Amino acid sequence: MEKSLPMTLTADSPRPIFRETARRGTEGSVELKIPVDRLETALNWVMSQPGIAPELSNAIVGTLWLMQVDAFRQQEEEGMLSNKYDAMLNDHRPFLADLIANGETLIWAAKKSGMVSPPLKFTIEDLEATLNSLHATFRAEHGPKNSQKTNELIAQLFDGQKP
Amino acid sequence: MARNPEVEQILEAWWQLDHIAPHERAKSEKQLNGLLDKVVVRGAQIYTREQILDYLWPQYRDYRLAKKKNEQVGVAQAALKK
Repeated sequence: MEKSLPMTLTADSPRPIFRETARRGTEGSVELKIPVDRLETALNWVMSQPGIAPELSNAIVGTLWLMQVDAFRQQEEEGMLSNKYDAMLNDHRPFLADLIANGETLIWAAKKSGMVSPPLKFTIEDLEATLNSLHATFRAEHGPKNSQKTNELIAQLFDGQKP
Repeated sequence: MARNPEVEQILEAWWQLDHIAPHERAKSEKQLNGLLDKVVVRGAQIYTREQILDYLWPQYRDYRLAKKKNEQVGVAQAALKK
């Protein structure tokens, strides 16, 4: 029987983001939630078949990774909406670091071996932009913060003042 | 209070990068970086893009929350129409 898997970030659910994913539906399509471990099992089986080209494997892994990133963003926003976001932050950090590490490996592999054009039509540059957006989130949420003075001076830039 | 229009533009570009379809993300990132670079240049390159994003982070969290709430209102309204 399929395990019932949690969708919320709690200490009891060590890797929930990788357990279930949601694909943002395009206009008129049905949004589909798929347990990621089932999807991963199927994809790993496909990719373990002899003779599968690395270019194809990279496109498949890229598609799955982008779905995981979308699910992660969705979970962040659901946390914000339910006022649970701050309580999720201890878990947010390792999940985000994991997503970043997977993205780094994927992009390294795609640059090394290439990637076929997937149905979603994303390129290696699109994967890099997605990875950079995750890095930006990590820095802003978990990285070093600007000093108060720096923030005041940046605020002045938006008010049209020169430094 | 209404936000500075330039801040609003950056927040929207940041939100787009996080939410746009995968095949448009490289283009979306260029747009965000272009907006950030205008601020960097105006600040005589004393501050980096990352420092500007760090400054904007609390506003960006509010912006995302507002967008999410609007999305939910839209879904509820669409369901009522059915």
